[in-house]
Amino acid sequence: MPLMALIVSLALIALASGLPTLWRSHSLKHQPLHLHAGQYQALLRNCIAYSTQESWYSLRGGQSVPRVGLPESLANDYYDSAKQSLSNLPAKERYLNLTANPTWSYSLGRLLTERGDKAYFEGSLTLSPPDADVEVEATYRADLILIDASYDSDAGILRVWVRLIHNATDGGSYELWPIAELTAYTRTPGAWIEASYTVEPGTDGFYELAVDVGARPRQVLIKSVDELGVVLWFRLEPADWG
Amino acid sequence: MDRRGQARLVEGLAAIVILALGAAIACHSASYALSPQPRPTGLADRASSTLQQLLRTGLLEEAVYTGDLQTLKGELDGALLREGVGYRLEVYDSSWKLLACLESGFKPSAAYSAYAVVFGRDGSYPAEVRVVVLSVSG
Repeated sequence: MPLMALIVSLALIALASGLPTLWRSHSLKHQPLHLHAGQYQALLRNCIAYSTQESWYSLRGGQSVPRVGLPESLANDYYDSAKQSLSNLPAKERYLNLTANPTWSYSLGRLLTERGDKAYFEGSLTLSPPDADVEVEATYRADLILIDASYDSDAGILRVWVRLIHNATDGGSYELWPIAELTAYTRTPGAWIEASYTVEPGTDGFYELAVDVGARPRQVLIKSVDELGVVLWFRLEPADWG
Repeated sequence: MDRRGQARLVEGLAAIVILALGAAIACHSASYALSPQPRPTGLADRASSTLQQLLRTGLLEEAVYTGDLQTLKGELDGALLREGVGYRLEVYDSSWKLLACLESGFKPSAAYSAYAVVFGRDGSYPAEVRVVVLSVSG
């Protein structure tokens, strides 16, 4: 009888010890949708960062716009490498589903002529988490917005006001203003060369640049490299902003 | 009562003592799971919302891929520990090898967990998957 009691007691203790682990495992398998969306948004951000970096490095000579199709191809390359990396996890522990194909839209290196115009890169993805029958739509977008510009021909200074915003929507929307390093370039016949300029950072993603472009100004290119790795750039014609 | 009857009585008492001890230990081990009080479901939300906040700002990827989880300590202490919630953050690679861990005030017997799969930092190529598990305890 004491032996039976001992066995029953040990079984009880073993069962009770396993309960917290079971709870933890249960809570791991049932994640809220906003966290799923957050992981997709972070992945899209990495795709955008990789694509914009490589698109910038792909420019040759005085080019400012990447080859048609290159930015989305690079973004897809990153997404494919994420899928490949995810496939290394055991199938039942692949907590994310990367079966859908993302869509991309962008404007990089364009000549801006109006206030509010922008350089941007956006990625969207619609997926179902492995353990849910609902769809998660995740979008991530980075904008470098031209707020205003003004050219003082007497001083030869082009002042440019920009705002950098990262925006994620669906399944948990939010806005970020990552710290960025801004650079101004002027066009020469065969290349973009770094101009003489100053940058005044403001709050909430605002920056003011003063670029010394001289009395007979050439086109100016403004580039932003932010702390999350995203590179955005656009061009301005100082004469348009006199 | 004869000798055999006395022996049965002693055996019975011993069995009761063993069962009582076993039940007490089991109850202690499962005090959280068997608690008659309502479960703190807010803890599960706390784990997922904290992890999501770290994902949003890019701090999670920064810490995971530089291997310096201490950079998250201030954020986690502020979001969790200051309000009496202990935590343990674990980083695993694709073969579930534990790469790094950060823990403070954590009680494994009363934990809720949330995970995040991350692929890289600042567009670093190629993507290298990491699974981050944040467990919190009240």
